[in-house]
Amino acid sequence: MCKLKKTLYGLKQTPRAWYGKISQYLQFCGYQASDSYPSLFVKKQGSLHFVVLLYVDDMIITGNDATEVEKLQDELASDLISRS
Amino acid sequence: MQRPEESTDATRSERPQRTIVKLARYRDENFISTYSCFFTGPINDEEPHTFEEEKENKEWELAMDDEMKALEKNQTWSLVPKPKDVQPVSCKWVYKIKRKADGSVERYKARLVARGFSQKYGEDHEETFSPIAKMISVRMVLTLTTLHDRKLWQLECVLIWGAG
Repeated sequence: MCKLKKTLYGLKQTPRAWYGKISQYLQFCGYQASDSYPSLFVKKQGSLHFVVLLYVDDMIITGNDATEVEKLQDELASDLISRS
Repeated sequence: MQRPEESTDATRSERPQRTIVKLARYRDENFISTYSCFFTGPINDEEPHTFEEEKENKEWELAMDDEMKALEKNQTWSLVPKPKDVQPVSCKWVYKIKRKADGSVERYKARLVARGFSQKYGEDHEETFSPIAKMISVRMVLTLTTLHDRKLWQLECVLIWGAG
């Protein structure tokens, strides 16, 4: 018998586990999930602010500093395997 | 790593299997060749439905090896003796032909999936809710981005089912 350490496609817990992982990761990067809209993540840093909107494995990012967003993009790519 | 085999037909019968009948126009060769670039679904039945069907086929064999390597790399599971009081979730292989816009084969894809429909709430799992943005919110972010003359980035994560 296989004891799963990671989730597998088709399990009931899989979507939840993914949200847990991505939200934890974004929090680690300084993003705060909105209380009333948990798929919206916001980061404020002085005059800089960023918004990440999550749609399962797809996301759009906007903000007023390009280098910061590109940094997040790179980090996501190396830590979570993403493609833009 | 040894490839897990599909469970026997004892569990298969629990779930009704549907027979797929294609619409007449999807059986028309002329229609298919003219409009193939608009199709999102399979236009022929080359995809095997069970492990038994594909066993001998080299393309699927390689595709399954790829999937096994990915699962291994991800350290998806460890082998343990089965505890007495648990009913393991069975698994199966799903085969998919990825096609280019013109309908030619891009690659053969095999995915090992868990048959999660046997899991019971409270017994096998608890919360399953995962927040997802509504399309209206996506449009709102797009609108705000344009209004404030900001740049927008879009990205997609792969292998998300291997999360946590």
